[in-house]
Amino acid sequence: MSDVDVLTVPILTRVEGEGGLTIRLRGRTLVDVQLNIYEPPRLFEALLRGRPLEDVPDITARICGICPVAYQMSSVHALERALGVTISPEIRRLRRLLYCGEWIESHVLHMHLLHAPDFFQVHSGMELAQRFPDEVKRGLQLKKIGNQLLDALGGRAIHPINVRVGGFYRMPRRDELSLLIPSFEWGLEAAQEAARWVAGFPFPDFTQDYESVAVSHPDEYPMNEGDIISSTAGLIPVSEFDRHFQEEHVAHSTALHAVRLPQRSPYLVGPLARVNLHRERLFPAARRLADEIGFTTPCRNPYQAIIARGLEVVHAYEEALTILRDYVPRGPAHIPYSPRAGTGYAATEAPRGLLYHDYEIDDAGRVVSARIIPPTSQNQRRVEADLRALLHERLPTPMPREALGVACEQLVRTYDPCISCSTHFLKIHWEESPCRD
Amino acid sequence: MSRLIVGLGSPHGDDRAGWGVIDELQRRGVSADIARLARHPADLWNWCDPSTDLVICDACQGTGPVGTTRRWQWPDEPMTERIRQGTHDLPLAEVLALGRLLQSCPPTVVLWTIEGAAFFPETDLSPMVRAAVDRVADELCRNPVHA
Repeated sequence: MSDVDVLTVPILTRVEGEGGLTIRLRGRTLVDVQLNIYEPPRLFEALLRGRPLEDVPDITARICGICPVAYQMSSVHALERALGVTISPEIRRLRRLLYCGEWIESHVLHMHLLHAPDFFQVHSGMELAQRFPDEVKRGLQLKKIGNQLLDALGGRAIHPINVRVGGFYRMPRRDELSLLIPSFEWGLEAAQEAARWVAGFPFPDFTQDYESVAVSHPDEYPMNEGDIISSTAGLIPVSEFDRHFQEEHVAHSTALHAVRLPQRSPYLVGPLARVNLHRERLFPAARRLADEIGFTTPCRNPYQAIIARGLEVVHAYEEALTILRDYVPRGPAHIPYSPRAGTGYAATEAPRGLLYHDYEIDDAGRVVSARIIPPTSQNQRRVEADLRALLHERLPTPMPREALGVACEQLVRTYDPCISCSTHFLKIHWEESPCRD
Repeated sequence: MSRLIVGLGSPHGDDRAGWGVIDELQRRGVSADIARLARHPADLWNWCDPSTDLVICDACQGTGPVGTTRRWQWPDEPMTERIRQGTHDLPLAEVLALGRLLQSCPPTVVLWTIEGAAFFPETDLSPMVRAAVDRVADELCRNPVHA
């Protein structure tokens, strides 16, 4: 056997949470690349067992500090299906409004401070802000407005507490939401400027053949209701999730990898997949902007996911503004229900992609079992496939290892991995063995 | 000048320390507009401006025995790498520096840290950290301005 050198290069920064990357080389040939996840598996599914179903939205919101609304939305939709609850159109619109606030906050942060620095060879949002102060300041303001919406509708911005099974604990007053309209009018214009800005970034020439997967609704851009659509398999009822997708344990990660069945292949979820599949369902200003900047779909360049995020921020501002302008409190804040035994499932679109939940509850309304499949777990194998392609492409040309490591980090960051939904920490380990010939 | 006390944290054991201070302050009658929970340092940009009298409370590791509390004055005392490094999207020091550059955060900030021991998901504060949370809350109530 050849001796193996293990080398560590700097920590991957600017991702949510912490993970690791191991690259094994033989000479200039790639043997393997693995995205490692060190954190003990999330215990939330086990924590939910035996708890009253009413606790589920608040507990699942704690899984992630960036996308608590997504966890709440998938859980309440799944539980409502189990209980046979049909929510009112007013509740449904308010839930989309809440989701818009989360997409805005999450996407704007990633675009401006986590991802954009990579296109200008700077190491941090701080350095980027020194070069583009107006653009970054505009980004902070866009983020702030998303936060204000979460605060107004969710009860508070951190772990919103107003969401419950059947609806909300309290409907906001009209004046509480009307106050936000001027900010959203400014935000819609500013979001378009931000999207134009990122569309002009210098993108690496790197394309992959993706199977895009997202929630699908006949009339709406995917957010919090619908079946699932795949760019290769077409429409998949959410009830058949297990026939088409499977989670697998891999030795190098404590997060499960999701694969497509039957071929066990990776697939792509997230903003790029959504825009690829649903560009025509974007709100008009976002659609016009996609035309203006020449964003053609399907886009197979992961670095351009930042443009998809920009278009979704425009969409979220426009949809939120429409809901805010039309809002009149009407009907009950929540639909009553009686506990009954049953199972329920739902997929909604977290900022980072499809988030699937399923639950079994007993006749007393207690959770018997819970399953939560976050988007970063679903993208994990896709990230590895992209890294493999990148390394195959770059390794034949002599290149400092540090530069190669940076290129890998940048590719991982295009996914905006919310590793803390399922991980912790990212360092890169190089394991090298010399050629034996 | 508006006052803002922000507790940074997560629901993971002693990482709740910052939240614990906020909960304790609210229990003692401090308004939720003044004492706020945050999950990420970047949340500060949503609530601050250059004139905000900002105090941050957070868990940390590497400052001493479990339960050690320490008051820092940023930027006069640079934070160690162990404060808010790693588990979040952007480190606290970077958030504050960028906020100051873009006039979204005050030029000086008081930071209270509490040394934690265990950070397991969905567990409670350890007893030593719980006691430290009360001491920091005492300090903040005793000397409310620039505590």
